[in-house]
Amino acid sequence: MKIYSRWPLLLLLLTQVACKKFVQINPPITSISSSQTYDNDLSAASAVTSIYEEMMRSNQNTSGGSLLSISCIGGLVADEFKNYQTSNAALSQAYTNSLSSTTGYVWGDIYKQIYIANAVLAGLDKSTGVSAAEKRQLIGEAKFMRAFQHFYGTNIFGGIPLVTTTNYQVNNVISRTPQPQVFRQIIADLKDAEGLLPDDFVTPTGGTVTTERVRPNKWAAASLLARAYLYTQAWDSAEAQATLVINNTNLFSLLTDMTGVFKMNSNEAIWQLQPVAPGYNTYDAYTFVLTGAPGSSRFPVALASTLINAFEPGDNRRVIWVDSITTGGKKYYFPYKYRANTTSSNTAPVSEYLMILRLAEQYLIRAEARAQQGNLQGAAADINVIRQRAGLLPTSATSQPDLLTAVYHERQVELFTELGHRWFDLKRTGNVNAVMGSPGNVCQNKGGTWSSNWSLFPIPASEIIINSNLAQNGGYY
Amino acid sequence: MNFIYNAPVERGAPGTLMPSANRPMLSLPQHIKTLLLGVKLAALLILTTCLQVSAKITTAQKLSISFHNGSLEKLFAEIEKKTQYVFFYDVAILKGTKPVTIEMKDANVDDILKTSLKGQALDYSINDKTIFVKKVERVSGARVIGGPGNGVPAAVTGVVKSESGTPLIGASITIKKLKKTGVTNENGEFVLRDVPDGEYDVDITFVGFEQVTTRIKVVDHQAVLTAAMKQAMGKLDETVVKGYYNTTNRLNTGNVTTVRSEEIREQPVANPLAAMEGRVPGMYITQTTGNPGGGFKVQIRGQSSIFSGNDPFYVIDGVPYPSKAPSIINSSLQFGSPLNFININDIESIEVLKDADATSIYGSRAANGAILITTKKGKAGKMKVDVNAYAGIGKTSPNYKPLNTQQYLEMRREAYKNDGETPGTADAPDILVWDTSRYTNWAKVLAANPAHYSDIQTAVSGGTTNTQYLIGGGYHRETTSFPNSFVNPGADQKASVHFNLTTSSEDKKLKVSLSGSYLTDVNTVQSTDLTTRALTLAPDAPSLFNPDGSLNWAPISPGQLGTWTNPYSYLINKYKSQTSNLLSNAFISYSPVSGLEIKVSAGYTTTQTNEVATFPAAAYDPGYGIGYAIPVSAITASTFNSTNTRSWIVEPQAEYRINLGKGLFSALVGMTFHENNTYVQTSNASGFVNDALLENLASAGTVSTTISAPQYNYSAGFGRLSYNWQDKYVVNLTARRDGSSRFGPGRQFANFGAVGAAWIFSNENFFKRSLSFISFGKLRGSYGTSGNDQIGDYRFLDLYSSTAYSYQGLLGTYPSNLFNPDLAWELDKKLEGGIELGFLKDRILITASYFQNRSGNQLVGTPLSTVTGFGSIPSNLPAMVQNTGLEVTVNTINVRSKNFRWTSSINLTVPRNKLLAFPSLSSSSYKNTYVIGQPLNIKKVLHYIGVNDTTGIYQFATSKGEATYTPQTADLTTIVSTNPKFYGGIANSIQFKDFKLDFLFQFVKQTGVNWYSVIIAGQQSNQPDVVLNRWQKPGDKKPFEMFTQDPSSLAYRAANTYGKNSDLTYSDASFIRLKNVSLSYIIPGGWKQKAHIQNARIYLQGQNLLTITKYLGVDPESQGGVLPPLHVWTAGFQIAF
Repeated sequence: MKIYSRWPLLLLLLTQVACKKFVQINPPITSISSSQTYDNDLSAASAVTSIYEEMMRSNQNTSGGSLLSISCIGGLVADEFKNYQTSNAALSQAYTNSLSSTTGYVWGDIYKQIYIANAVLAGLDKSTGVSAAEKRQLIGEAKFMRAFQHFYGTNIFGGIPLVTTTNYQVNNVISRTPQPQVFRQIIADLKDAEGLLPDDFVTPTGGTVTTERVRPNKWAAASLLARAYLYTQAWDSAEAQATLVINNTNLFSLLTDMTGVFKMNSNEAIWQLQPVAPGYNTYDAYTFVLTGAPGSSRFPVALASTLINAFEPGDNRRVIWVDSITTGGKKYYFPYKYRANTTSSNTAPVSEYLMILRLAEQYLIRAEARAQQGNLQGAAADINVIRQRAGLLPTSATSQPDLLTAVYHERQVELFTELGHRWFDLKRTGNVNAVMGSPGNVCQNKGGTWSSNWSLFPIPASEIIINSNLAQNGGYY
Repeated sequence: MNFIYNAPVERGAPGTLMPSANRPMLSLPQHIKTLLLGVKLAALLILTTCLQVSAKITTAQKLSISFHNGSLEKLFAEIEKKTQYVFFYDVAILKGTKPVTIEMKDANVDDILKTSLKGQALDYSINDKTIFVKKVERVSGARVIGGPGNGVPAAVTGVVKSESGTPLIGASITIKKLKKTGVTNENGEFVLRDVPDGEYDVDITFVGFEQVTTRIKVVDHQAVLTAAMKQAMGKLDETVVKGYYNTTNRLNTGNVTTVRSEEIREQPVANPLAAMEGRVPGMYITQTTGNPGGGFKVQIRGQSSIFSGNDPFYVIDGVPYPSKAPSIINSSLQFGSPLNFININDIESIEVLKDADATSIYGSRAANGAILITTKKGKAGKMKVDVNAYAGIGKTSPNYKPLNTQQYLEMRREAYKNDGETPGTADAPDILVWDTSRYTNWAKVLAANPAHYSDIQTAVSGGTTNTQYLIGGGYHRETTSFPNSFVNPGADQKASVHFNLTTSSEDKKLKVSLSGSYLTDVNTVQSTDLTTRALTLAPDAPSLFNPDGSLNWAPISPGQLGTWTNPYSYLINKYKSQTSNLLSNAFISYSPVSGLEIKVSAGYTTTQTNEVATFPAAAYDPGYGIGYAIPVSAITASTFNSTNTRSWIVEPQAEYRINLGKGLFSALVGMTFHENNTYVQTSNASGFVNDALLENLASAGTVSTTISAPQYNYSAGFGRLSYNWQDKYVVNLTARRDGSSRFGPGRQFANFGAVGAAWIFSNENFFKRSLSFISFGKLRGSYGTSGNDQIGDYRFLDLYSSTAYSYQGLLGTYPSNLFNPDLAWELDKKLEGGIELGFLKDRILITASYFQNRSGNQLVGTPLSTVTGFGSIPSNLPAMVQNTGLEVTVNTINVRSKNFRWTSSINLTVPRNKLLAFPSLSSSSYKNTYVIGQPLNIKKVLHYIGVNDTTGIYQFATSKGEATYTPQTADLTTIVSTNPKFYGGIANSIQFKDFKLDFLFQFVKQTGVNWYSVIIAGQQSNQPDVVLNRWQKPGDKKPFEMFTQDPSSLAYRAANTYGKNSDLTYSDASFIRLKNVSLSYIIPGGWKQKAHIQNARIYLQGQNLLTITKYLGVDPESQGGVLPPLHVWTAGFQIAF
């Protein structure tokens, strides 16, 4: 009896000692822990790189799955695209300005990338293995990206949760931050980034200068900062930042050959994203450049007549950046800024990168900022730089209101179908209700009914179910 | 049964037992010789490949013998020559024996031996075909327990052992005449004192063994008796393997169902799960496809986990076996089945452990029950060679009648008319382009070709009392019902070897056992299941081939794109998987003192699967311009998948058994260390320049590869205490402390335990006296816990993984997992009560049990706001799922006479699954998936209320009960459950002289998805002919709506969007199926003896021969548009020699 009465004790002891060690295992060979990620320059740079990869990979989706499809969705809700794929609920709803909170647009992608940016900032903060120079660059990039995502988020949804940590318990119950505060954070992040980022286009690690314009540098930060100031009507700061970029003629210049603007690493590019899926160039070209009648899942949209009619006669942008296809007796116009509409079987090297920030916008930002500050001549000069490149005569506008109208028009025909510029411009200039909503105007022509509520996208209903602190935008349930 | 009068062998002078044929002896120990014999056998095995244990010969052989004044040695040799018996004895014992003279005609060997050994101080015993000869000695001083001159009273002493030589503890020895009873101690020894001289009948009884009655002669008040008891064959006394220990049905405190090799071998199936269907109460098995190597759904006592794995825990010979198949890229195999990679013929028995008492010893892994597979072992005796082979065919006969061409075209034209549209060549080639006078029964052409079965199994086994061996091998091939003469015959083939070697020291204190099996499987079943295609292809579709033998794509004019997808193009896409599976385990036990056994079992398992699926350019319509306009490299692609699982386990254990009071106490403690490593590499390759290079990854233009390599470590300590008081009261306590690497620090360990108790009231004296017609009665109950950690590995760690593509030449690394330290076990609480009754000397055995399992602390992917960067996080939710059920089995021996024996076995399970609690369900994303108080397996659907007789369109009820064509989400108010309401099986076995007929009916009462889920009558897709009963004009009251082909029409949407999501799609899917029939005949006749054949048997077997069902669809078991389980007929033979 003595022997086995001790067995349970023996068992317990053995279990505690031997078993405990045995069930503590290392991470799988296919993954690394967060501390391993930030223990050297290369893998830390790789973590930041995943943001760019993610943006370009998930870009293969026009139904609102990614931020960059804002080119398509933004064009549909405004007056740039006509939807032909009526069976696609996300596109149909966008086109008729009857967005649904159950469809969900871009929200999740924005926060996924904000999470990575915050994870990088937290990881680098604790890291001792990453060199000081690399740390500066990567923190700069992460802050830039955090600002970039918040910028798009707030312009699409209005006030949004301002997320600066990785703590899921906090972020799961977070409330919406009013838009001015979101902008304050965007500007603060961009200022930090401008101070941290290098003057040149550099490699992911080591700071070697490269011709690849695919990582944000100081000028990207300045450009986005100029835009953020413009959107918040800080005209002088907007002008100052735009001037910084325009004056850097070593790196940036407007191309006289307009077919080359959207080519990879063109001189006009301040920041581009490199396509990542093998065989593909940009997804914009893949989707927008029609080789058949629109209406299929590959070719859901064509340019709307409102945009075609907006060009002045003789505008080279109408000739060079717009093309058409005639099929079944009907003519369809499509954007032809990006031309390489390749598929996975493409074996030729990539020729076009996705343009995120380019010099022409900086001229138009400065023109608007100058006009707002009463520098009418300066404003006209900047407008004319753009008009001249498009083969048009200088603007005839001289008064402040006329010059502002001229700038808005110039933005419409210069930046069309690029990342939702038109939609955001309509909203920030206060023109959205007039353009979209007056009787017989855009929204009605598209088959919808306008309400000023529709200038903000709905927050996905699934998000509100999980986090009841998130209030829905007006007009949506 | 055999019993031998002999004296215990003296220590230090072990007798050498030798087969007489090897008499000019080498001085090698016997077990080494047996090993050498085994090596010779292995050579034979390689020639023949594999095994089956033969039926035992029961009839004594008769022979005539004329033998004069010769030595016993010569006599034995003579007998060996004339019969199949073989002698085992120590040569030394023949010294000093007298020569014998025998003259006998047609005598039993028994009689001959009795005569020749009379007065020789020798005794013999016959075990199967082996005759053991031993010396009878008076007790000598060395082991005297009692005797004159020692001061100890004289006594009858002895040892009781099992056939395999294990001492039996607690056996009773009774001399009725003297009313004297003794019980064996932990060495199996007993002492009966004060026995007067004389001859007595002695009864030896032990539960689970056949009673032995023998006669002893007591001289000088002493006698020595050694008895070897044979395991009883009654159902109640069959051994039940229960994790780390064995018991019998009679004494079991838990709920375990055993399926034995005798039942398995009657079925022409390759997967043990197929052989268990309908035989195990509480276990619901569904064959998901008729393709060879295809998948099975297995659930023991219902779904207990909402999101995590519901797979049972598989253990083969003590070594855990994966519950998921490695195959992932062939959809027509329905994920495959892990048990496809073991040879069904190697299986001796399968135990299904269900309640807490049985499963708690497996702790965290057995929440969903455990399935223990025990492989065949060699048995002592002369070498046996067994060959079993069968061949046969399988066919489908879908319960589905499609439209003929005339009916089909009528439907199509009417659809266009209804839609107000005119067919065009692009959307209606079946009306305008194809030859409308053609008719092809596509189901017959594409999915009802005969599948061929062939199987051969061989085995060699035998051994001595100390060493037994078994070596076997097998081959099995099974083809599909898809066309398989074209390019790539779809088949599953497996070849395997299995061996087992068990040896023990002379004193039986040290035992060593080693088993292993290796199986290689090649599966080439097409990865597209053509069944749906076959049933929906227009009956006037063009011929498959052009006159020149190439695939016909039926273009309107040459060079253009074809008007259909030729179904044979799917057959050009090849699939090939090659799997090799090695299972091995070793077992060592040592008994330092009596009653104590120290054991170590260890196992190693490795499974390697390599798959490739190719998509050659040849499978594409040449109208695309492949080869000139489009380069071949733009089209060709392959998928490669390789899965390697390596797993080892070591389990040291100690067991102690002792007589305590009037009962038997046993204790078991042990530990487990288990590590499982998996490596999965999947590569998608494209850009091959030639179809012939598709299986070479190195020839791909582009390759993208994903790898996963999880590790799973698991350790535990476990124990069991059991007390059996006079076979009346049995109490069994089990406990386990488990640690799993799947959880974070501090959460890795958890405790599990159970108590089980049984009261065998029929052993109470008052019961025996007053209710003697009840031959057996037991009440049992158990309560305990087990757990579930099937959530995947590393779910608690914060991890970074590589992105799919590189950017600026650098691969990204993204955060792929949130840190989640709070993750812990899912916990199952199991309660069970049962009653077991035997009537008419156990000719009727009835078992009924009721269980209630509650699973809480559910591992759920809790949805997170995507603001956190992630969509969900695995966490423990205090949701509660309850499974209750009633399981009844009835086993009867209906007729038991010399030439006729008929037995029946019936089992019935009535399960009920219920979600008891789910915190904040209504605000979660699962609000439309689950309902409190309902089963987990439900769907919220629309309620269908018939065809509107004015418009001819399907209508559905709104939540307010109004009719509508355009219901909303809120109208999803009808709840349907596809869980079975009850299921079971009825088996009968009828034996008449040398004929034996076995058959099993399986029955299931359930609701399933019917063919309305695919019907949109009018589109370019064939339909079951019932759709002709459709609405045509206002006033028609019909079950089917009007024909339509326009996806934007209201009628189309009513069928496609709403109909499929309504109770129209669900209907009765109950069935009664003649699952198995086996008719065998034992070939009689003396010719066998001359041919040295012990046993020969021929048989016919059938599987799924008849199905009675009201189900609307292809098959009520597999459901949906997959190849249903085939009707299989086979014929075969078995020979043992």
